[in-house]
Amino acid sequence: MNMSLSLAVIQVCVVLLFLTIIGLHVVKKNLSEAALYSLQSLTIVVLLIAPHLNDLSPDILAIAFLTLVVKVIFAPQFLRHMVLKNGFKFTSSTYANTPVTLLLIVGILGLVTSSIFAPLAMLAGGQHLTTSLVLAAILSSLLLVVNRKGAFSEVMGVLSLENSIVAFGILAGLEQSAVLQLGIIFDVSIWVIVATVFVPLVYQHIGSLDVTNMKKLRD
Amino acid sequence: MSSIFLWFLQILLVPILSPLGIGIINKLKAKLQKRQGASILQPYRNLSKLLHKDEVVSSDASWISYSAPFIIFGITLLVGASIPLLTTAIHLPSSDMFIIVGLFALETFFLALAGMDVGGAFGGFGSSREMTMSAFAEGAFVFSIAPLALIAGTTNLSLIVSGINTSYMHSLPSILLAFAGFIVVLLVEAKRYPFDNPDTHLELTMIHEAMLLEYSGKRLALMEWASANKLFIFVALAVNLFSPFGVTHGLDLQSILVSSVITLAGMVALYCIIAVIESTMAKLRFFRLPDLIFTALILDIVAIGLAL
Repeated sequence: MNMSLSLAVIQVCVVLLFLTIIGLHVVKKNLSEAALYSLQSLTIVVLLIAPHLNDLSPDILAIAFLTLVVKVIFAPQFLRHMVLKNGFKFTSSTYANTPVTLLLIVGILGLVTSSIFAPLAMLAGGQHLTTSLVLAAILSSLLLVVNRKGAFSEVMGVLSLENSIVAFGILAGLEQSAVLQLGIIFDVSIWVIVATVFVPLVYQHIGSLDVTNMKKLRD
Repeated sequence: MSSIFLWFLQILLVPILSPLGIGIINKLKAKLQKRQGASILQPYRNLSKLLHKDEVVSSDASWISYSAPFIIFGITLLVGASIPLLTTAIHLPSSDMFIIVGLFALETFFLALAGMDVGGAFGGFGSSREMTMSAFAEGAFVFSIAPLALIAGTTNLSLIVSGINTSYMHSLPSILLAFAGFIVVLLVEAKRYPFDNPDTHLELTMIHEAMLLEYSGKRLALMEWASANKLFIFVALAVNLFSPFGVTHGLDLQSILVSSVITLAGMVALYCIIAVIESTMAKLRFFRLPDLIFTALILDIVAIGLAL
């Protein structure tokens, strides 16, 4: 009973993770992106707990709690505060328009369900569909980084990529020790703090968060 | 014999309960806006008021304007009687997903014709927008049910509900993605936020209400009632197709009663979700709408890919 419940929760979380990445590709407001990242991180918190429903250890609960605090509350609040303070509410444009971006995501899904990615998908045993979705989430997050011209969206893409990799690690049974997980959460929190300091500085200096306008930074 | 009785019961049940759904949405929206709001029975009173009023019909109106409300209302009754609502034991030829989609396309066709018939500017642009949305939405509708049809191995909606139970857990990612796509289709087809504002005739962005501007009295009542029926049908499909655990496969009274209670509870929950969406989202610009429907289409394609 618990096994099937845990499997169902994992599948729901992976689908939510994938949907949030589609959302990150579609939305045009930075605040919506921060909210979607918060939702995505919440699915990661549930994913951390779901495989261990039968034997919840204090380590896992502590890691899940820290992830909740850092990724669901702290990081989105920092990003939200940064957007509101500096007034860059709307994302910059993309290289590919929305339909083409979505077709690229379908292409990515076709790729990860093909024989090329079969060895990776098989790491999760019977859950190869969910693993394929997570692999698609990883590549779609990379696409977000590449496709968006706005620096804020690229920050979101990197954060989403990190979440997807964590989800893949959990599904493929590649979980590491609690100390390593702590290290990752620490890295993310520092990264978000650094981003919230530097992104407004870049905005003040360049007058835009569009990376195509940042050629001056090379000089 | 009992299946014929149930079929007749379902024909009556859809139009009887559909205004209640609109009432629930309006009441919850009012509460979320910190207003008292009208009773959840207000849509019944509105229909009764319209049914007792005289009509004013344009001198330019042809047979299309006169007959469209009856055709549209009749189609919603036929579709309402064909969906798996009380039990899956009734297998009608009209329960096929392609026939359901075709019937809704026919309904949209007559609605658009009725909007243009008298030559009013508002009706014309409402019809134009309706057909633009429908061109995307009908495809997304087919694609959102297609993963379920692939999993169950049939296109009959009743058989899908009974067939999907066995492989539900194995196909859960595909079903969830298809459900996400279906919710978008529901909002487009039922003309709800963020695609259309069902509460006003004053917005230049209106779609559905623009086509009804020339109607009054009994025919307007039928049009509004048909719209409520359509929302009811889509909500019932969303509950019973994508979460078919409560639907009975037999014809005994007790299991049908339990199944009906579970289905209605799910439908009330979905009506509440629609009310929350409408209270928290602004209406999207018209040119952003195809992007959203295309996103639903892509989710459905991904669901089909996973179901294969």
